[in-house]
Amino acid sequence: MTEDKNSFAHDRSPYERPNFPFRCGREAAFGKPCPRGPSAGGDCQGISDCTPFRTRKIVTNAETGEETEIQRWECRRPQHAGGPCAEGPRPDGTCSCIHPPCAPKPTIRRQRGRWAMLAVAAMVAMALAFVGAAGGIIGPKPDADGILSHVGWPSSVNPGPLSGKHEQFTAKDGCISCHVGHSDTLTGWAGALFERTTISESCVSCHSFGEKQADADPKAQSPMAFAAHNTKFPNRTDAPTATCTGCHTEHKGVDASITPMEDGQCSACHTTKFDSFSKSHPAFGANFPHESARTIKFPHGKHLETHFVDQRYIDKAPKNGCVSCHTDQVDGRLLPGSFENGCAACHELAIKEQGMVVFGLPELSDPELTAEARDSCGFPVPQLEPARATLEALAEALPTMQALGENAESGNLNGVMTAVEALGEAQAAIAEAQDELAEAVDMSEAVSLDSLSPIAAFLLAVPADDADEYSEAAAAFLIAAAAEGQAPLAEAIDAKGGDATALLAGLSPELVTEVTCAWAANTEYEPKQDPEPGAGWTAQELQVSYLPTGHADAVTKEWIALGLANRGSDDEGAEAFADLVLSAGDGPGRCFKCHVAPAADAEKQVVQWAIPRVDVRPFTAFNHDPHLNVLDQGAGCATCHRQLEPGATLADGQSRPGPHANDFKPIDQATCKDCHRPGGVRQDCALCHRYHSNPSIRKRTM
Amino acid sequence: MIVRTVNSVRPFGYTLAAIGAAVIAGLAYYSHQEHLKLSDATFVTGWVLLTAMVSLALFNIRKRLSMMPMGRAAYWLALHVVVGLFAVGMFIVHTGGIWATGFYEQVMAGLFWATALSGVFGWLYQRAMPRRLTRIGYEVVYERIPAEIAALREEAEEAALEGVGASGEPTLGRFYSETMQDFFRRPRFMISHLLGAGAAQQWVDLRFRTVRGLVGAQEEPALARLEAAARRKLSIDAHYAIQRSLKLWVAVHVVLSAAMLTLAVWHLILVHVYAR
Repeated sequence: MTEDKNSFAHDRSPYERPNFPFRCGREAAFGKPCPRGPSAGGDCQGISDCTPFRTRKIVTNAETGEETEIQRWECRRPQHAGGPCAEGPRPDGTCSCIHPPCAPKPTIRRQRGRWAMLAVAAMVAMALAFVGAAGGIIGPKPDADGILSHVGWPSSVNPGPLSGKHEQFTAKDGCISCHVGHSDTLTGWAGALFERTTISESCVSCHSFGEKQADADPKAQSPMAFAAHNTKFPNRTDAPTATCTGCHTEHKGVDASITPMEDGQCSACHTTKFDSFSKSHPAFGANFPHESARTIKFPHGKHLETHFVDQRYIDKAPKNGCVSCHTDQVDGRLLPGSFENGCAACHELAIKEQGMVVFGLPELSDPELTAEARDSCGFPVPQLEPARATLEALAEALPTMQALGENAESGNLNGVMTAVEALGEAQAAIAEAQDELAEAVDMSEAVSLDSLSPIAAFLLAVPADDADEYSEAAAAFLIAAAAEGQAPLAEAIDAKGGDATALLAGLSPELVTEVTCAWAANTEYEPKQDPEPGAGWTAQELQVSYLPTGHADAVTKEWIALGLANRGSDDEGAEAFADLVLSAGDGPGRCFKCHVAPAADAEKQVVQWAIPRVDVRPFTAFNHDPHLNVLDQGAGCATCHRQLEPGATLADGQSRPGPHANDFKPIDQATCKDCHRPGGVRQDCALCHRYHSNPSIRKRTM
Repeated sequence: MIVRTVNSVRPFGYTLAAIGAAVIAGLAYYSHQEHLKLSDATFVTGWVLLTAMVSLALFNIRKRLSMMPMGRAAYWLALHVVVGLFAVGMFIVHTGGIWATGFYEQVMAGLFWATALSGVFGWLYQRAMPRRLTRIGYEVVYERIPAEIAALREEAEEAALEGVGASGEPTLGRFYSETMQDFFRRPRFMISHLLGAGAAQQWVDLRFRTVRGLVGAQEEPALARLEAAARRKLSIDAHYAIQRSLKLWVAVHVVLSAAMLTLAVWHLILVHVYAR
């Protein structure tokens, strides 16, 4: 039971409150406190027990009626200190109970207030002391040696280290590398408190998302930077925009990942909701991942089942299965390696033999044109010269025959003998002239081709097989070729919109002239040695041809491009020309045995020669690496990539395609779910899907 | 007979706690939804957290304005406790964790947790200690304790002199001067009193049990008077230890709070300069 001695009654204890700022110094040492205690300002009031009070009293003399004022000093010592003292105040009004002064002490409350103020001051001091460190407000300033002395210091501004990839990014300019709003001055910093800026705009000054023009213009902002997936979705015009900082939170430490994505973040926009991959992920496409048009036709089935087991080629067959050819890793995809590493062993020679005749030397319908053409090479007109020689021989023989007759009539035997000798000489001259004439007659049966080559006919815009139609143009072409080599060919190509430099790259002007003039001499051009496969420009007999130097031959690709450009054109000879360079056969069209030609009605008549490195599914990523060693024992890649059986039907109803189409079954989602399931391997969206489309770093920041 | 009073503070506290928990849950849900929408709710949660921390500081002002009719202090304490726990929840929602990576944010997080833990400790401590004070069976204002001790010391000295005078033997005088004088000089056995242990009681019992066999009948009244003063001193010492620890705890809590609020204001300035 609580004992109450009523010791705190007003007349038994001093008036004390917890909120008094000071207490008596004697009391603080557990001595007897003075009754008055310290003042609010901390001064000792215990020197005297009280402050005597002066009273005034008017006393009236009963006899005289005179009033007298009596002043007295009265003790005011409180009851709890013993009440008025016996001595009373001194005459001067001072207390007679005098004690030595004490040093009042602050109470806990007072000390608490002081400590709190000290703590506030310490925090302010710390904030100000470290404000400029580690690229604070104004950023680190490198010294004369370019060394940033502040790096590594604790900062009262920096909320945490940047991630590893951005760690050195601010080394030069400090915080304003990203926080441009406050500039690099203190006033700018203060002004930024009231100015709204977006950090994400700083991000896209370095990061771009497929817009190349942004590289050219540093101020240009990627128009798709903040669009959902950096892409336009025609079916989702309501797709919300996003800022970089919505997902990428910086200042979480060097080792922190700033690219996490949660499944819920995908579901926030995507209309197709599902719980998890293993539970309810939408089905893959009917032919996933082979829906898109391919650029290379490679019949896996035919190679695996026929060629690679053929004893004739078995030494050239790949030894390590799929990865023998699929050697290039691009974004986790295993793409086929180069032609040289995979295909050349079997297909190189055939490519070098797939030549084309660019132009041949045709028969001209008008002998005069032929003569004119031959004359351009400096040869005489062959039909006239022998006849003139014969006539001259005959003319020279006529006076001799007259002299023979006259001498025979006159019996002048010497004269007859002389005339006979002269006739013998004339006979020899005539015989010689007759030989020349005979030769000229032979030459009128020209050594030439029956028609123009399809390429020459297209370039000259004449029919290839009608000598009456093409002779004049062909003669002009040949005359010019004899004089100027390949120049008329280049002019004709230019007229058709082709790139003559590329199309005729490596063609020697002398070769053109020699072949033309051999024809002018009515002979066939004989090269010093028979052209080998892959020889490039070559000539033989009456034709100038091109043999590709190897795979990916630039000249051949240019001729194919010209053929594609004139595909479907109404120009004379265009159809035959396009047919020559595009149709599968022994010519350039042989390229399309493996490469995919654009469809005839395609808008872009361009061949995509290389396998595209850019993923056609920019938001899907599959990393083969972690899968290669966990597949079914012995099944290898075929665990997922299973070939279609002959006669099998694809999911879309198409039967097993021909050798130039894909011959694999679509990936079975169930195969993925064997591992990617609850309790198994990760199955979150970000494992297989990406958010950004074509992310890259702008060149000017590299 | 035990009389139960109607305690309206507890339902008030539970109601507040329910509201606080609901607000935390709502803001956590809102924050997560904003995160899923690739947006950011930290400005909202940050302002809520700062508001909560400032409102916690108002409790101190309420104590200073005790003369104003601002409701019972018990309600304010309940509000303070619930809002404090709410602030802890909001801190986790706001930061997404319990710690920070930057220097000043680590200092701020450290201050926050130190404040919060000191608050939780104090809450439990101030619930336990008053019962201990009640069990002592004596009431004294903390500020009066030095005077009380001084008075007891005078009382003990008078008793010792009385014993010496009554018997003519110096036993009680020596007992006081050699054994008890230091005991009466200032509060003793602080830790023992703080922990509720009986070391002080045993010490006093032992001393008086020993001296009782050495004094005569004339000295008994004086010895009884001296022992009564010593036992009163034990009660006062216990009060002193407990009340002082309560006051020191408040001082620590307030100082930590002041430092944390200072950095919170600094943080507020920084995020409005940098993080938008």
